[in-house]
Formats: sequence, structure tokens, C-alpha cells
Amino acid sequence: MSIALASKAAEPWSRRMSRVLLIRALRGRGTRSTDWGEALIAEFEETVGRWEAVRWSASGLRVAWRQRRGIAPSSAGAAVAAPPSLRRRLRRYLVIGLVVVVAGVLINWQVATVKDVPSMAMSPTLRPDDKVVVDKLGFRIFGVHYGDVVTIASAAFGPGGGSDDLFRRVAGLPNDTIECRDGRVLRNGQPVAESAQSPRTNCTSVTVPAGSVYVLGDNSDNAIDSRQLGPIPESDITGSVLFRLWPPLR
Amino acid sequence: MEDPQGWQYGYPLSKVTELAPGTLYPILNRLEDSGLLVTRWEPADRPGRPARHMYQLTADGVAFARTHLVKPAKSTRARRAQIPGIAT
Repeated sequence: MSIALASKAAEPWSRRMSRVLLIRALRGRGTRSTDWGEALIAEFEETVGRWEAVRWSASGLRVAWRQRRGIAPSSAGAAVAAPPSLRRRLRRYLVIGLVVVVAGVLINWQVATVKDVPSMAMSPTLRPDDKVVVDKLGFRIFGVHYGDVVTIASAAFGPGGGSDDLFRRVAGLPNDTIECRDGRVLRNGQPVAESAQSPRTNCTSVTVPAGSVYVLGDNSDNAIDSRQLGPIPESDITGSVLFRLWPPLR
Repeated sequence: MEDPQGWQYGYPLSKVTELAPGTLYPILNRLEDSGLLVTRWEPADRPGRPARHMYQLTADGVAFARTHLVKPAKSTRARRAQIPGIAT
């Protein structure tokens, strides 16, 4: 059955989506639903605005779902479903549990995870054994910015760096000119705010190449960072710190 | 009940009763099954529109409604309690 053609062009997608879902749910593969199903579909066209359409459709989907499970709306008094059997409930809990575990594993792997801080390099901001939540996905979409604390694959620090990712702060992005003067790191001639002055700060001037970042540890006196290593490839960034989980206060 | 013998559409009924269609249609179905309601299809008034289902109370339905309807209730819960065939 066709839909109202006149208003189709100006119709918001949520309305169109609701109609398609409703028709699909009620008719299945067939061309006609039950009488009440067809009535529901027809009356959908009477709804005004997107929210009413969405609510109408959602409620229609609910009966369609119940009908599919054998609780026909016309059978007398059966609008209230019998409580599911113990076996059915157990199976439902099992499925929910499995979905939660699988989703958790996937999220932990690809989206965000909790990491231990391995070293003093980011002290006093982050100390060894602090727990932080690290975003593993968003920084790939939105990029990294000045001042972000990122995790870097230890391989970027050469052999002997251990296997834990290391935490450093982004001080320079592609095309920035970085130099060290009087114990301070300068980006395009301006001191980098997050980097403390340190007698150890001494580096070769460099323009950060495309696809690289210049990273520093907050603990300027001790950290091994781009001052010694130079810019590191962006591809070695494994995550971006969102917040410190533990300790919550310091 | 303002027009007890009139033909009604589902959408306005849903508005008046404040029932979601998922609740309303099963009720209409049961009323039809128990002979309190007759239905018919009305061809679309505009091209491209689907035919609409219409509902009318039978004489039994009107009588049933008269005996069961009291003054319009204030709360939704109380209103639901007045509607035959709905579990409260």
C-alpha cells in the first residue's frame, strides 16, 4: 500500500522510519495484516508530528510482538500474558548475561578501558598505580589536542621500555616548531604551559612532521619524552586519558 | 459517549481515551468479539491513503456502556478502571 505522496518530501525521517517499522512488524512478509493491524497502519497517517508518530508506532510494535508470541489481541482476556515459565526466564537471563559480557569485552577492547599508570613520568598529575579511564576510540575520530594526556605503545620508546603503554602529554601537533630554551619547551616561540621548567630540558629544534606528535611528561626532571626521542608517530598512540578513576581526590 | 451511535476512527478514540494504540486496539477487538462493537472499512478520502477502519457501538454496546460508564474520572487510573476488558 502506498503512502501519502503529497507530504512525503517534507516528512521527517523519524516519521518515515516509524511507518516502515510498523508496517514491517504488522504485515511481516505478507501484503496484508489482520484487520486491527491494517487499522493501526491506516490510523498512523492521522498522527501529527514526529513524536506522536513514533509513539503510535512503538505501541503498535508492542502488540505486533505480543501477537507474534501467540498472545492474540482478540483471544478473550489474554491481553495480559501468562507469566513466563522458570525455564524461559532462566534462558532469558542467560541471554541477557551473555550479551552484557560480550558487549563489555568489545567495549573494553575497542572503546574504553581502565589502565594503571606505570611510571613517575606524568607526576604530579598521574602517579604510579593510579587508575585512569582511557578512551581508545574517540581520539581516532576527533583527533588529539594540545594538553591531552595520551597512552603510547612502549615500542615507540625503543627496546627495554617494558610492555605497558606509557602516558605522556601532547605538546606539539604537525607543523608546530618545537625548541628548548632556558629549560623550557617552546611551541612556535611560546612556552608550553603544561611543561615545567627543568635543567634537563634540552632538545634539538624540530618541526613536527605530518602524522606525528610531540609529547612530554609532566615530570620534566625525570621523564623520557620527545625531548630525547623526537616526535613520535601518531600511530603509536593507543588511547587518550578521559579521567582519573582512582584515587578520586588528591 | 457523546455520540453513542456514531462511527469512530481509532486515532481519535486513542486521543479521547488517552490510550496508546497498543492498548486500545486489543480492547476494540474484544468488544467486537463480544458483540458490543461493529466495524467497517471506509475507503480513503484522498488518493494514496489506506482505507480506515471504523467502529460503532451496537445496541448491546450502548446499553453496556450506559450501565458501566460513570462520570468521567479525574485520574487516568480511575478512567482505565471504568473501561471494560482492561486489567487494572
